[in-house]
Amino acid sequence: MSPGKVLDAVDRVISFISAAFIAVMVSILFYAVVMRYVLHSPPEWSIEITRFMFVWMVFLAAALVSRDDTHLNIGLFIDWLPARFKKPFRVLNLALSLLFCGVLIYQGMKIYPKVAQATSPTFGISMGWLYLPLTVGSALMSLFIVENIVRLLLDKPRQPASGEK
Amino acid sequence: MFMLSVIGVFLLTALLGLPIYFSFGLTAAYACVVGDFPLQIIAQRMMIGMDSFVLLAIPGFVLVGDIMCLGGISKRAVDFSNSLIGQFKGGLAMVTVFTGMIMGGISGSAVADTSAVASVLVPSMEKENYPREFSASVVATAGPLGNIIPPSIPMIVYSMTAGLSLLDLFLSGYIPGTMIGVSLMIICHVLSKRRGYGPPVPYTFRWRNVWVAFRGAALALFTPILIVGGIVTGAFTPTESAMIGVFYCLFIALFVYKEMTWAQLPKMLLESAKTTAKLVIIIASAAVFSYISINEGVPEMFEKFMLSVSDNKYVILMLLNVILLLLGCLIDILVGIIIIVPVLIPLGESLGIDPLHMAMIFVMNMSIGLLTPPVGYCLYVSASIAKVPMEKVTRFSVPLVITMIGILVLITFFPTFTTFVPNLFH
Amino acid sequence: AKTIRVATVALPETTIYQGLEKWQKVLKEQSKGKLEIKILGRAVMGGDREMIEGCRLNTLDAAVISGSVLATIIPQYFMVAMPYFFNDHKEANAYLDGAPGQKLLGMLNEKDIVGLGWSTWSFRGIWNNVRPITKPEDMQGLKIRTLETPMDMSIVTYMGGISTPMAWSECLLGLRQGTVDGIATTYGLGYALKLYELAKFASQTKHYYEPAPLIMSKKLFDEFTPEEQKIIRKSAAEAMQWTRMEQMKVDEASQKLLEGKGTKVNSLTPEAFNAFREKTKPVYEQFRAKIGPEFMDESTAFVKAFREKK
Ligand code: NA
Ligand code: NA
Repeated sequence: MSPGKVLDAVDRVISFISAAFIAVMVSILFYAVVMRYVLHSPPEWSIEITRFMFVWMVFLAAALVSRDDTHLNIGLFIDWLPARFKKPFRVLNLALSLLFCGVLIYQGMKIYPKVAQATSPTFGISMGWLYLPLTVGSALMSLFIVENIVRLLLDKPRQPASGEK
Repeated sequence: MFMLSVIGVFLLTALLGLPIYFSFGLTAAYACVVGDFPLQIIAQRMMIGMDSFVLLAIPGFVLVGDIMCLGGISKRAVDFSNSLIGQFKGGLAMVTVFTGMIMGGISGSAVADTSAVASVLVPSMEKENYPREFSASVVATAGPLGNIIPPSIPMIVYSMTAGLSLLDLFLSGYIPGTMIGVSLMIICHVLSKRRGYGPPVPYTFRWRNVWVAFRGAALALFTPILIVGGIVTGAFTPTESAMIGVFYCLFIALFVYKEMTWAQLPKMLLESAKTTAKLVIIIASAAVFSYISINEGVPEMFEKFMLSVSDNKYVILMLLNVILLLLGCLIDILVGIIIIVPVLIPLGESLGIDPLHMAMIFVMNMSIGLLTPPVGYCLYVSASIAKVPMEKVTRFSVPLVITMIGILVLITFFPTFTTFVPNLFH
Repeated sequence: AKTIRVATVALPETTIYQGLEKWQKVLKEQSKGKLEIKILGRAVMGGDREMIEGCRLNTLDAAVISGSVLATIIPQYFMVAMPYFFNDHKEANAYLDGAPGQKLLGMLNEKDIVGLGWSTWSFRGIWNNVRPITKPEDMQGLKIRTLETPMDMSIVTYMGGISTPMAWSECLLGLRQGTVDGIATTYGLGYALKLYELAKFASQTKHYYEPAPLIMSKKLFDEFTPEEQKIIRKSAAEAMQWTRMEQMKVDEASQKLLEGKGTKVNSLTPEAFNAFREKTKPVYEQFRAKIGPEFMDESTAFVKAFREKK
């Protein structure tokens, strides 16, 4: 399998998880309202489970946004640049982004052992599960940023998957 | 001095075109290294910045916006608006604003509103002889309306940051939102009349048409009542209201209007995940920045500075308007809430400004910023949907922006416009 | 001067915040201006869990937090928030100043934090809009907002109500709009939060006591000279004790203050107090293994001995 194919597969898995998490979160909170308002027996687990899913969803989907390269930015200056400067600038930007991902991966791992000692209020599971997406998401993000740098240098833009804008 | 260099690093990296997320992140890393904070702060504060139950409403309201757009809800809102006010000169431009108000009452996201309104109305306006740049600029104003008329994602983040009641914040938006909507409609009417936009033969108004359009749109028009009414009656909390909105809109779109299919759902969910991630990851990294600014005593410094200029409440508020309008040109509203609102709170307290009034002034200023380059997402979205250069749209949007600033001044001097509705429900 | 940044979720009107101001003053005096306190109130540094974590990671200097939240890292802390464990402030103070309380503070060392003293959020009561709670039957059918922790939920359930977990950010609005019938929080805090605007009835159910330890990052603490450490410990313990004494007065005064605002206040008769105590006994069994039978027995024995001595 080519590296591109592997990345596509990773992309599909993360996409599935993010979309599924959104659907499940929305449904759980809807269920909680029904249970409380109609049946007067609210579930005790809805807050904690949705909180954990939310954080995972944000970091996983943020990695996808990095692959699409559609994070919000101020594009004005780079739009005005003459064409021949654009590519080096883009590479510089991606490299700086990668630098920050590196900081997060390292710091995320550094605080992990301590935060993982604490337990969550409802289920009593390790709070590490809340912090893990910081490292995992940033690692995935780096992976996609590296892909974008390589594609930019090789002049091989990603073929948009069917149905994508 | 230290804080100035921190802000300098942020501006430099942001203007280089680095995504705001990374730009905040690197700035925070710089601040930690130079200011002798442990770098762990970045990881920990980011998690704290995003681990808030209130933020869960964001994917909900983003989804509501998407469903509205695909599910035929926006189209019906347009038909209904058109049947009511289409007969005036510049009718379709006014319809655009009015639709923006209706959609603003359903969705929580300015950008979603803008794209929903743009995709339906820009083509129709072109057919009726409106220049595309004008259409795009009118459509872009739907965005700020979406922020001010509840529900609203910026208000959600504001309530989280300032610890205000979200219901009160929501309710405070009705009068200012209506004031903006009505005055924009008037300005659209005047401009179209003077410049001769619109169809040569205007529509005729018929009650029958209004009734037919209303019947078609009634279920959609009920959405805002459901969302805000549910919070007011205590059936659910603001965060939950977003989920109720999703299920309700999904139900209409799938089973009543039948313009959406189950097959479209997965992609919609994925898009909403991505949109949410884009917003929340910035909120998280801005929280690191905010932490450093609070630690460095920036809120107190700002308060001292403002009070040294004047001790008159209204002089300070007008000065604040100028500062916020300028900042609104540069930074996005959500980022602004995270990093600027903590700075404003002590000032507002020592001047005795109602926190809701302060919130409205803030949200209006920053929403106007959505219509001004270089960071004007609504302008950007509507220009790209209308396929016209942003510079041209900017020129056409000048009278609209001036109108909004006029309303902003009114709101600034008369707090009751903001506080009247929330007080009704106390 | 070295500045210690101490965070809390408390508002300036609360006793805890005033206790920190007291510490500010005392520390400055005792250190002759060499040590200073900067108070970061209103949860600008995050909630209890985040502040604990911040102190452990040394990203925050110090914080006053809710004792029961420390149970997420040290399960023995569940003990202080067991239902109907203390009769009154006197018992609670004896416990916190006595061997078990000092033991609890000592346990923090292993988790990279230093416990400097105990202040308090006081006893919990129930604020609601349906009826005064005078006996277990009054709890029937009331939706009471609780934390999403099994302990908080169990207590309200055994008391007879419907425990309804809700995020703090949403619960005041929830009480106002009737999403929940009531919320469980403390007396002094209730006044500072203007709960009298939201709830018709304030019942002093005293179903558990919430101490508020002052904690500091151990890494930071170790950076001070032994002399400075002594001053910090001494001044902190002094200020936190002052807070507990002050809170007792606030609790007494709050009945009048609240009734002046139109909220009906009631406390439990000894019979009702004991009825609730009996009903919530199963919570002790539920948490016995988690807390550790040894520490639980030691704690109950301590309180029993204190009661008998009187
Ligand atoms: Na809205
Ligand atoms: Na702008």
